[in-house]
Amino acid sequence: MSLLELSGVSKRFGALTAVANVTLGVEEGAIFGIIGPNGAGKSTLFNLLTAIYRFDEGCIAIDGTSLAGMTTQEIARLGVARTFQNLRLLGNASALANVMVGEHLLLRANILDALLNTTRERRERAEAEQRARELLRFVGIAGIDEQFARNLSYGTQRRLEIARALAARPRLLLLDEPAAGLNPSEKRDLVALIRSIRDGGATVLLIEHDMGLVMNLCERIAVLDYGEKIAEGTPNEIREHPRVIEAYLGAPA
Amino acid sequence: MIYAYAFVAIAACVAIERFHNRRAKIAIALALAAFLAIAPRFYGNEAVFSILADAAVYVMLALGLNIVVGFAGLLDLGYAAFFAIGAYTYGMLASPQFGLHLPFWVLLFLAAALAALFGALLGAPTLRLHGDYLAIVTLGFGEIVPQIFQNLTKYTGGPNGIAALDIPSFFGHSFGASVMPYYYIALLGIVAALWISRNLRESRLGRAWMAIREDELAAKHAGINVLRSKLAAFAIGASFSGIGGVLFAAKLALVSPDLFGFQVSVLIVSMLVLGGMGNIVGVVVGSLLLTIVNSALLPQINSLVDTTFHTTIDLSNIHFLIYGAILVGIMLFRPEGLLPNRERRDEFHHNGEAEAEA
Repeated sequence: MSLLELSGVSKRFGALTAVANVTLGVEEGAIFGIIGPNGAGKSTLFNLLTAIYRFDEGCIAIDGTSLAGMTTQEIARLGVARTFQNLRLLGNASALANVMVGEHLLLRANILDALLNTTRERRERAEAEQRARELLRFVGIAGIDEQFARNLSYGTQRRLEIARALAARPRLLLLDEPAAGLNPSEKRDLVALIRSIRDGGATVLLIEHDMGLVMNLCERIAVLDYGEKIAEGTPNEIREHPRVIEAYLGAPA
Repeated sequence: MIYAYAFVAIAACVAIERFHNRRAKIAIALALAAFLAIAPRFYGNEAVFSILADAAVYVMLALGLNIVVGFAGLLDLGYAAFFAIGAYTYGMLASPQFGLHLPFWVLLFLAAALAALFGALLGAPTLRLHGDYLAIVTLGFGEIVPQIFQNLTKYTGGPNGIAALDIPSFFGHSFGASVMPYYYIALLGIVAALWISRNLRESRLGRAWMAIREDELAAKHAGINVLRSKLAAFAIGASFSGIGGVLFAAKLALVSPDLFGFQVSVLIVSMLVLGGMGNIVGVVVGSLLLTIVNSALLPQINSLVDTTFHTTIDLSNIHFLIYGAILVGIMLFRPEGLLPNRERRDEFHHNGEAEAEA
């Protein structure tokens, strides 16, 4: 069974069908890419996966558990973490605090622990801080712990957001255009980082516009166009697929 | 004399804020606490300590509201409602009103619990509201609660309120007419409120509030239960003012609905804005300053004007004008507040730079 399964998922905004009858499965341990022209419904699909929007039809399941009716927070509990196309860092908080927020679900301290600063609260805080520092190092931005997120360079912010998503130890990591705005050398680092995330045990589902990066990184790719899945396969299959070429280059005259 | 005390307290707060050494901070805080505790031995003017006791109650209120507004980012314009609930808890349960004379010490905790309960109850309908909408709904609650106390005449004495509240006692020693016990209890209350505020800020819950304040959607994606965290902020914040309300009512030996109107909520929000929202020490400075201005400086300016110009102008009519002018001045020249935390200082600093470049 796949870790993530979508069958016949549709989402309409009024007359516009943003996601139309999409069926796909992402195997555990895969790096899976979703591509498609602008407005193809890729980000909408991600937003359905984390319940920012509710899907109108079909079924989405994580490891056999249906997401129907679940809230964003409940889906996070299932082990789904994500980054955002337009970065949603906590700007007025330190990089370290951003990652520690990502660790929320790993901690057990409750309101009484918070009020009285109990041993459990202090111990968890120290552990969380330690793990957060390690994560910053893992994504390659050690030494910026105390800086405010909003003062960091764009590339660093992208990595910080990945670190925050990883902090929850997700089974499924959703990356929404992780390479957008990065220069070629940063993109190479990103590819290496995503591979090591997968090797660490997470399944990665990503949306990306950079074809070279997607073809190089992903083991399987699905192509969306006008909300429909028009193709799915290995990078080589996608590269040759007539409907994909048509969607990207236009129909032959 | 009151200014001397306020000056020492505020100077100590500024010093605590400026020093980066943890030990130095603790040393200054302890020295200040010792000074405030011993001071009445050398200078026993009850009128001064009455104002200081009131100031201390306001510091507690401001610290409570700081949890809701400063930590969780929920603009609450009806915070005086919980102050009223605390005060009326004492007014109704320790007075001839129902012939109930529960002990002051029990009521301190009962009022905190009741205020927390109402904080959660009033907070619940607002959970999905943001910004302006939230502010307006809380404004409504702030109006409704005193109205209820005013109109439930049978239980609350209506517009006249309840008088002749019990005078508290401590192991059989009645507080009598002295204000000193209230001063000391309020100081202890501040110490507790400061400790709890600091604990909360550093806690898992405090980080959840910070995430909600900065980006609610990102907070949800981190698995934070946004609704529950907000309720916790409303409840904990309200509980501080429940305790403040009991102290206030017992010291005054009176409760009436007009003591808890909109201007009280605005006053407390002003304390936060003036001192530096979110920053615990800044909030203390802001609330001290405003209480001193309100209860000492403005009346003195009034009498000074009268004696100098041999008039009998009642400046209390333009009390709010002067008060407003002070606030406007501070917002113009130091919009981040007097003692902001790093976040807010940077925020305003950066905006300034952006404007300069544009």
